[in-house]
Amino acid sequence: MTASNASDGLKTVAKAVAVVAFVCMLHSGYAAREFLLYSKSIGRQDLTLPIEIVLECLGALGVMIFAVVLGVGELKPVSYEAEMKRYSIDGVFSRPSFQVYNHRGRYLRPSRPAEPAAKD
Amino acid sequence: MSSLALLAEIRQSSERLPYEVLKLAEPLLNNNQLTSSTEDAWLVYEQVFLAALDEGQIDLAKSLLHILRTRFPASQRVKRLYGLVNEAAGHPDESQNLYAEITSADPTNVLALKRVIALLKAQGKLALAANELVAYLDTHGNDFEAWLELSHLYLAHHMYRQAAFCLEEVILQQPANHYFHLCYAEINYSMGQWDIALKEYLRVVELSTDNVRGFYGIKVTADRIIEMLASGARAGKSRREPQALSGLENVPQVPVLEKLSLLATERLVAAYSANNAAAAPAKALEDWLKQ
Repeated sequence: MTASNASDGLKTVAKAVAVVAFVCMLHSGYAAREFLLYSKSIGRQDLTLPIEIVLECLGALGVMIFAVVLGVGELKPVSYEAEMKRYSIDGVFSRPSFQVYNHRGRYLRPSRPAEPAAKD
Repeated sequence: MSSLALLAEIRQSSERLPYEVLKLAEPLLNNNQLTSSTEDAWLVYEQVFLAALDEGQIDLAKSLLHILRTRFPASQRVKRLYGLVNEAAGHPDESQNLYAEITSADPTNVLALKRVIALLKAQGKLALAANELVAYLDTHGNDFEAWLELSHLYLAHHMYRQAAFCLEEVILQQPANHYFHLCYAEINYSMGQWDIALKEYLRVVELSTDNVRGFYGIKVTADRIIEMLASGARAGKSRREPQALSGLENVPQVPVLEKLSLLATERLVAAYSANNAAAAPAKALEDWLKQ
């Protein structure tokens, strides 16, 4: 219980960080636009962006990537073998479209574990 | 895990666990928790319906089918379920008429076409079912489930060569699934194609971790090939002509085979001692390996 609570807390924090980083990215874009407009209006020849804006943009991007990865749900193992572990040999060979229903199943458990639902 | 998640897992694994499905679904149905807002509610209804048929609870199945019918009045998929009820209740002729009706209205309805074949299987007409399935696969060659079914129909008649061909088609479509390689290896072993069997058993243990059935296969096949080569060499010496042994064309050298057999023994012992298996089977296994 505590483990899931801790991971839930981590996820909330990560999501908040991702939002902040996104706002920072927007801010860097706005700053870049302002800088270019200002440079043009004063007739500056060199239009390369100042290092602060570039750093803010790239830094925010890096933080956001990590925060988003931490903030999403459980990641699954990527290997095909890990995926195959979920399947049993009975499931793989069960061939549901070809199952027949006139088998002995009805005589195996006549006690009826589930009754018909009371529905109209 | 909630029972809905467990049901979804069973559905995805396509295992046939009717008793478990009914036990999981009973509280959901009785408390009316399955509403149209529930995720996958209709898939759960279909799943519980099929489980009820497997358990022979026709009344429950019919009540569920009524719910599905009111929600999807024109669905062919729901219509097919009526055929299933008739199959379970012992009226195969009515099912046959229904499937014929569905397929004449829509000749591409794959599910109904497959039911026709399954119905033949249910009536014990396995040869006829195999013929129908071959005709079906003529048009639907990419249906691996049908290839698998045909393979098992051939196996029921001990037609190993044909069954192996069908499994080759399945493996072409799902080359990374080690269960198919395993089945293919076992069929080849039964046919006496030791070289292919050994290769496929090796593929099985390559695609999965410590597959006991695969390692048993490697050990049995490798030992068998060594034995056959030795007896073949003796026969060749006495007759002064190399005897062509079927199923031994592409086998590795004897030292390699011995190493493979040893490796399989090692992995089997490791697999059984790692799982804290009961002492008696582990002891029996060791005795067998030491032979």
